[in-house]
Amino acid sequence: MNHEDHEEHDDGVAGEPKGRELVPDAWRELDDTLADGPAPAATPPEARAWLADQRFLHGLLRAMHSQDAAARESRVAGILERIDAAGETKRRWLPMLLAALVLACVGLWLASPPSLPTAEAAVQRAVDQLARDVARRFRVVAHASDSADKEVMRHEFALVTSPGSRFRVSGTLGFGPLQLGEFQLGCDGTEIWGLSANGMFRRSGPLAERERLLQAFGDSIDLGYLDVHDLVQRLPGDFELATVGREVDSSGHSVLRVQATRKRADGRVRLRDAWLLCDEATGMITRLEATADLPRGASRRLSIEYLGEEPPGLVQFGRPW
Amino acid sequence: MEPRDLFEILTREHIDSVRAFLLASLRDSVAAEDVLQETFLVAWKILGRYDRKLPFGPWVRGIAGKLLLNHRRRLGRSRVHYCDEEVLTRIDEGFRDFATLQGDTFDEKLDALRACLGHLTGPQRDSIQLHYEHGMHCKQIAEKLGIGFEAVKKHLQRGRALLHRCLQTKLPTGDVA
Repeated sequence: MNHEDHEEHDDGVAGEPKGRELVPDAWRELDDTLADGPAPAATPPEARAWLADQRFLHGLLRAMHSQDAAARESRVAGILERIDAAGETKRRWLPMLLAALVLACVGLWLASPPSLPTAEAAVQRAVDQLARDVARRFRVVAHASDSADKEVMRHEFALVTSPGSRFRVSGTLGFGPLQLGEFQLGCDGTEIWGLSANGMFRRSGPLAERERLLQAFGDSIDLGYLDVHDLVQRLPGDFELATVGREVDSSGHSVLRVQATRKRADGRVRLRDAWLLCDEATGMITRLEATADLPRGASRRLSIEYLGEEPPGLVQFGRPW
Repeated sequence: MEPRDLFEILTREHIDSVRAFLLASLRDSVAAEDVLQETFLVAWKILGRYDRKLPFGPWVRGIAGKLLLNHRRRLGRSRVHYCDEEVLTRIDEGFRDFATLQGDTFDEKLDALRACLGHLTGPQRDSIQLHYEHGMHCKQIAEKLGIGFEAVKKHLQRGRALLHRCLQTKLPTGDVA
C-alpha cells in the first residue's frame, strides 16, 4: 500500500468521476475528526453541510468497526437495569413516603389552627422551591388587549427556567391576525440571546442590556416574567398578599389561592394584580395569572402554568451558535 | 404492552443508530457509552412526551443531541467535535436517510456501507481501512503509505465524501445529493 503524495492520483470509487469532492482547504481544517486539539469555536454556514456529511460517515465508520454483539447486549442490559433499579427504589420508598406523608398530615392537622396559612408563608415556600437548582418547565400565554378590551396580541411560549436568571423560551409571536413565526430566546445568567426559526434574526448581548434585546422583539416579550423565581420573590415587597381560599386542582391536589394586589400605582411596578395557586404538599406554584398595565389604557394578561421539572442535563441555556 | 416492554423493544431497535450518532461527535468512545446510557434513561423518564405517531429514532437522537451540547459546554471543545444545532440536525438527517436503507437491523443496513467500501479504491480505501479498522492515526498512516500527513487527511475526507455519495445512490429514492 504505497501511494504518491499527490491529490491528482486519488483513485476514489472505481468508475466515478474524479474531483467531485474538492472543497476549500479552509473547510478541511475545520474537520476536527482528524486533528488533535480543540474543535473550532465557530464554522462558516456554507461549510456546515460538508462537515455534517463528514461527521455522519465518521460516526457510521466508527460504529461499524466497533460492532460487537456482546457489548451491544451489555449496553441494553445496563440501561434496563438502571430503569428497573430506579423503579424498585421508587416502589420501596413509596409506601414509606405515603405513610410518612399521612403521619405528617395528621400531625399537622392536629397541631395547626383551623385558619388558612398566611399568603406570605405560602409565597415564601414557593420562593424556596423555585430557588432549588433544577430546571422547571412552564407554559406561558400572554394576551394584550386595547382600551376597548379587544385582543391585539397573543403569544404562547414554552418556558424552561432555573434560578440565577437562566431561562429558555420557544414559541410563536402573533399580533392579531399577523403571525410572525417561531423564535427562541434564552439566557445563561450572564448573556441573553434571541434566534428566529428562519435564522434571519440572531442576536446576543450581556444580560445587563436585556432591554435592548427586548426592543428588538418590538417590546412584545416582557423579560421580567421569564425569571419566575425573581417575579415571585418580588411579590411580598410590591403587593398586598391574601390567601383567599383552599381548593382542589384538576390533578386532585390541594392548593391555596393567593391574591396579590399592587400596593401603589407608581409606574415602577407594571403588574396590576395577580393570583397564584400554591400546591400545599410541595409548596410549588402550579399556576399564576397576572394583569399588567400598558400605556394608553391597554393591558396585558399573563398566564403561567407549571408543568414539572426537566431531567438534569437536558436543558442548554447558552446561545446555540 | 407495558411501557417498560415497549421501551426495551425501542431501545434494542435504536441503540446502534444513537451510538453511531454520538460517535460522530464524541472523540472518546467511553464518553459516548456514558452519554448513550444517559440518553436512553432520559428518554425513559420523559417517554410520556413522546408522540407515538412520529418515529422514535429522531426523537431519541434529539435527546442525545441536547446532551451532547451540554457535554460540550461542560467539558470543552477538546472532548466533543464541533457541534451546533444546525450541524447536529444535518447529521441526524443522514441517520434518517440511513434508516430507509434496505435491511431490518442497523447491522443489515450497514451492508450498504460495506458494499460502498468495496468499491473504494487506492489510497482512499487504504487510508479509511487503516484509520477505522486498525485505529491508526493520520501520522502513522502517512508513514505506512509513504505519503504526507496532509495527503492522508485529504484521502480520508474524500473517501468519506465518496462513501456518502455512494450511500445516497442506495436510498430507496436513488437520489444523489
